[in-house]
Amino acid sequence: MERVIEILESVKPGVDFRKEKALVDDGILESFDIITLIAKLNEEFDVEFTVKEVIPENFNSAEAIYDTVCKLEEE
Amino acid sequence: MKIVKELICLMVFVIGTLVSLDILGKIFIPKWLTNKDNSHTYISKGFYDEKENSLDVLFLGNSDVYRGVSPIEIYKNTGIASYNYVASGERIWTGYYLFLEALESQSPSVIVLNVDGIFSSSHSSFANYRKAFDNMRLDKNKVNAINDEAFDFNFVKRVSFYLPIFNYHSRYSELNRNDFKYAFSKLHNSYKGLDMTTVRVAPRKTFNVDGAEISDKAMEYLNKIKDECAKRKIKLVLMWLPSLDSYSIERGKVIADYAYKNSLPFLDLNINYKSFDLDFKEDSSDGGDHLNVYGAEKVSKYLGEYLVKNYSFSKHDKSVTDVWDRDVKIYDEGKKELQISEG
Amino acid sequence: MQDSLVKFFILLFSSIWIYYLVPKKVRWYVLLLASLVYYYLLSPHYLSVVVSAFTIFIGAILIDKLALKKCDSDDKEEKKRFKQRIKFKKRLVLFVTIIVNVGLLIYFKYTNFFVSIFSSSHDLLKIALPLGISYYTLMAISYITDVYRGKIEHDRNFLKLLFYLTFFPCIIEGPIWRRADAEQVFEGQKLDFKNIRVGILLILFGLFQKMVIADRAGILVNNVFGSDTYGLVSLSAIVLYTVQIYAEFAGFIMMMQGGAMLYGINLPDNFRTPFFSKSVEEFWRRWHITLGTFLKDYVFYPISLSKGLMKLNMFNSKHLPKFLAKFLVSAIPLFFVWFLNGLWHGASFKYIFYGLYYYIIMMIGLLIEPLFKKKDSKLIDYLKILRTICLVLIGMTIFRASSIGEAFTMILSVFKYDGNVLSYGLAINDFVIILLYILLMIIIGVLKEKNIIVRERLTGGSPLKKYIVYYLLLMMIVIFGIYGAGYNASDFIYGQF
Repeated sequence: MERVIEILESVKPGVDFRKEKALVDDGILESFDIITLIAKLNEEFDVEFTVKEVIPENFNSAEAIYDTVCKLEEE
Repeated sequence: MKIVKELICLMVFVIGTLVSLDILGKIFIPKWLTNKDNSHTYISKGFYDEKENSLDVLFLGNSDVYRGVSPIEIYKNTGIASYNYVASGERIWTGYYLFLEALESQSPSVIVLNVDGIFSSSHSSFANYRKAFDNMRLDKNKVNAINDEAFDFNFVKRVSFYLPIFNYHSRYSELNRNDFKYAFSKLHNSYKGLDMTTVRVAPRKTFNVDGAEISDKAMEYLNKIKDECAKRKIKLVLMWLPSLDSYSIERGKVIADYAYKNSLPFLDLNINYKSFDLDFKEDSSDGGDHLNVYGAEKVSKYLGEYLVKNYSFSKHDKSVTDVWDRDVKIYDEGKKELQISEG
Repeated sequence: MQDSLVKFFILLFSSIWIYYLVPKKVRWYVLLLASLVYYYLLSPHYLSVVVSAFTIFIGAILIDKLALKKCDSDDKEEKKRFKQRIKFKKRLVLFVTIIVNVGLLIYFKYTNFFVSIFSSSHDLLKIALPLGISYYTLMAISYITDVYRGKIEHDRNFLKLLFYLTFFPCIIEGPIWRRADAEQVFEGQKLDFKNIRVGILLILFGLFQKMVIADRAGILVNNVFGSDTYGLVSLSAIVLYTVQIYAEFAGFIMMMQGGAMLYGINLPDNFRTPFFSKSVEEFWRRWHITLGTFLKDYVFYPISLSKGLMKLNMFNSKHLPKFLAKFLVSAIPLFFVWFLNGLWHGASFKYIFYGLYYYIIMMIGLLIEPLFKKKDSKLIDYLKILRTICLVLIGMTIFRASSIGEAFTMILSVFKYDGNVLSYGLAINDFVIILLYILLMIIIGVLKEKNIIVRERLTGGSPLKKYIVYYLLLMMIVIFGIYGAGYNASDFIYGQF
């Protein structure tokens, strides 16, 4: 979880990722950020995000991102 | 309860919309009030202002009539009350519906039909059809006319005759006081359908008039008028007002033949116009097509004599003659004014 | 009014009674029938859409069948290999289906374009474009891809897919809806008067935008584009074209949404006050939304997330400055997005240029972004909106002009001396009408940003209120609409005996 937040902060500094619950819906994360984020998550956690996972619900909060990563790790 | 309220609102909306469209149409129809646009609003609306069953004679036909017959002049000379209920570029199928409409409120003993337009088998301009019908009351004659195949109106055009706003909506930026003033008011026509002009234009050329055939379609409507007159015991007179650009001896013969076969009188003024001193150099407003008021008065003097000689008319009530006497004065003044403004 | 619109309303008002009279579950069959009739009335080339529906129908069944296959072996390696094989097969089905559909689109829409590139002859092949192929092809791709991604299940009823592709409010100009959006139709909609109230308002306001605004602006636009004009005349044509295309497109979609709403169906929004955007990226998130989201979901993400690009991105973010890395992340997938966006709009270099124009602006924007410090103030926001509008005006001019050259001549001519703007078919009162419309749209837009939905405010409450609104709209359309032969005073004056 902490690693997810670190990555998030490296992609988009200056946002309190512990509190934000609507990162995509409020437009904090744009599509470019998401692409960069996914690239880093893929490497850091050795998972493979596909387009299927790229839906707002999976990226709206740090928790949601962490859950998605965990789910992918299981596969 | 809610449903009832909703339904009432819906009905108010539908009726309100239709009424509004009708009102808008009346405002947006152009007001044809001067001889620049052939006084068409005056001719159509003024007819409805004539006292019911007060007219002795009705003139039907095209523009040659509203320029070439002066009912006031006839009245001055003979006391006969008449009216030019006609339309620009009138085709006989337009004339037929004006004829029926005229008989809704009047019962003339003589109808004089100017046959000038009978040889046209093509359509008149859409604007001319509009002029003829836009100020006609929405009654069965108008509905029948709109739906008559003879006019070839498509669906959109038909709708625009019921609701003229669809035809004239783009006038919104040029509406003036007259459009509102004459939208709903009655209009009295003291000239009785004469589109008065004092302009003199002598003919510059000779006209070649080709063709002397009456199309089946025109013949059909001519016969309809003839038959309806016979049914109602109205005497029908065929007439051809002096017209250089559309008359020919051959055409005159065709009409004479028709008149002979159907035992109708035919007044061909193109043959004898010199007998009542008509001179195209002085009496035409546009070089031989239409007459001016001077020509119209000469023709009308002749027509009055003809009518008195051949038919008998009963005397009018004072209520009618009062109006006509007043109209005579307005007519004389109007003519003087025109002589000053038009020269 | 266009023929397609007249037929649309005829079908709408004749089918709506039947729709609500039959049982809820079969109501969508009425719509399917209406859609097929509509398609047939407008275009005899209906075979292509049936083929599209059929390919995605079969493709989706195959994909879901493959997904259900289980490996019997307990061996982990064996399982992995099996999984790989299934994945490969699924992918194959997906690609074949997409290729067939895109192939049809290319054949019908782009053959002449390619022929003109590769041969010098100017003989164009006569290929009739099937109605709505640009739209329903995208819908077909979204369906098969969504099934592949496991977002939705495949349809067991072929007619449902045929309906989804041909639904008549969507077939002419979109919105490009998703299969998931269509589910509401099959569930069956019950009669809700709120939908009827709002639907009628949308139809009337859409018609107003089309007939009063778009067609009015179009008069000047048609007179100016392609002729030599300068200064204010050129500028007004450029601005009015953008007004025209917005009023026409947004108005059209509004009518379609209103029509669908009469059946109780919500179509996705295609516009969200696009001229309030602070950047062109934002503009394209608010203009033709369903095309933008399509390109995002089915072009941008798949390319961005492809393995090659992912590796490149990792390399970049380690070795390059941050803004440059971000730039490169976007540059490659966005190129395809905008190239395809342009090409989708029409088969010519002009449209490709049109798409790439936005691409270049965005790329420049990303490159120079670090040079500007972020400062938030109202004034700067307004300036950004103004800048975006100017960029969009140029884009629309490219879109409208008959060639790229003409577009630039037009734009440059703005800076030359003046002509008389009133001699191109529009009078002062026409400009006033258009300005009032722009003002109205700004007010509606501001209210929308404040979450006040005008359409609901106008139709809710007492029943009389909505009728007053309908009445006013109707009267304005009747009086100020551009339709009919038009009144020409000279037809009526002297000389026409």
